[in-house]
Amino acid sequence: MEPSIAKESTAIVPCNNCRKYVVAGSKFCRHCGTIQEKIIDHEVHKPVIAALVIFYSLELLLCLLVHFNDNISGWKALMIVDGIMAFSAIFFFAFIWHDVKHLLRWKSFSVKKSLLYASAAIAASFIVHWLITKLNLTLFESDNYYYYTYLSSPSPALFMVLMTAISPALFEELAYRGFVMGGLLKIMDSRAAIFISAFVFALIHLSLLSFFWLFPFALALGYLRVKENTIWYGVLVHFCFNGLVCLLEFKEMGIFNWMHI
Amino acid sequence: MFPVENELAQPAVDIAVHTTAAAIDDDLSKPGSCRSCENYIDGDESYCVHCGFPLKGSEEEQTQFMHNKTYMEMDLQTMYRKIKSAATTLYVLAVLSAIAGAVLYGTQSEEDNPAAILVVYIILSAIYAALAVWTKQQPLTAIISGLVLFVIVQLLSMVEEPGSIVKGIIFKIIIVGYLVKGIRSATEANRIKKQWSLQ
Repeated sequence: MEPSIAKESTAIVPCNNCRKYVVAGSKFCRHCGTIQEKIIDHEVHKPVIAALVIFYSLELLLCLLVHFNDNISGWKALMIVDGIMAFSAIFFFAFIWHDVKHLLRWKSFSVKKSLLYASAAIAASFIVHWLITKLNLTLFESDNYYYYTYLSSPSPALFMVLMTAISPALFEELAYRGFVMGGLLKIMDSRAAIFISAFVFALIHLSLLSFFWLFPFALALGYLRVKENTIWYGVLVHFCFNGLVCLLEFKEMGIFNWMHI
Repeated sequence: MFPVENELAQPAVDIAVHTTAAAIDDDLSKPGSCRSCENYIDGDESYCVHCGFPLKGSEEEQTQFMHNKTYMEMDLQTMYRKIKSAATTLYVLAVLSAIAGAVLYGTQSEEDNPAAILVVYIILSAIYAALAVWTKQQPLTAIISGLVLFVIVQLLSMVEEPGSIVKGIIFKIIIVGYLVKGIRSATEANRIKKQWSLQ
């Protein structure tokens, strides 16, 4: 018999009701018949479910305002909206602080792993950028540049990096992989939480054409969060992914004197 | 004399319980297996570690356990029907989205970019269809996602054309109703399956 199997078969844990010992992995206690698996009581978690709904409704409202209100198209208006979203992310993260505070630690930090994830993010971003450009040119006969939004700002390139790469990487991770996943994990298993958080994250961008890359991207970020038990790898991946889009736009628009910004 | 009248007066559920109890008694010839779930048991435990059946309980306790389990199995069937209705709703949304895309593609002018509209509706239809199929494996996740998608699509339509919210309002309420019932049933089904170790 292999040692690992022997170890597993003899592992015992106390029953969550009578405290007598039962074999680890047993569904029910052999002494009192109490179920050992965690049964989720949705009544207990109603405040968390309500917070999730309120948070997502607020995000949806803000995104709809940005997409459909012509008065919210300049960089100043976008900064205000992003500011509200950042505040909302922090507020709701703090709402379930006890359950998610461990995500702010980075115990599993490793340079090798960080480089690996960053490289994967850059490669994926490059492929997605190429595909989106092709798709936009095929369907709309024009491409979309974020840079134009920040043209009237004091420093377009700097503001674009701040608003497109840094801010989303920090606050979207805090909001979706932090609060949303943290809340969902209280009421469902990790696979379901990863899927739903990724799905709502992809939909909040209000572009079904972008769904094909946003959804797998968010699934990967959710998986990373569960696997590494921190949001920081997600922040790094998100920053690299969005950051490369900024750099590619700068290159395509011939703006590479951004050392003078 | 065998009380035929009394037996006939029993509701269907009790007949089921009696049948199961009789089957259990016959099953005594199988040593080492639980009477309720038929999983292997050591023989010295008071309760089955797989289903919680009171192995050393009185006849009354064992019958009560089987009675409750049968009720739960019946509840589960009702929940599966509601989940199936929610899945059908998602299939209907997939078909309607595909039809809407085809109609808009045929009727929109070149300036409105009908090709882009068609692609968007095809993606929408594919997502609804994929979620409908997925309700067989992960009903709760699939139906929640379908409801969120439906609500967002309705909001987007409303913002683009405010009058659209009242168009087919009864149909929209019915869709939301089926999906919400599906979510509640999937949540409850998950709990019952876990608690009673049912499949």
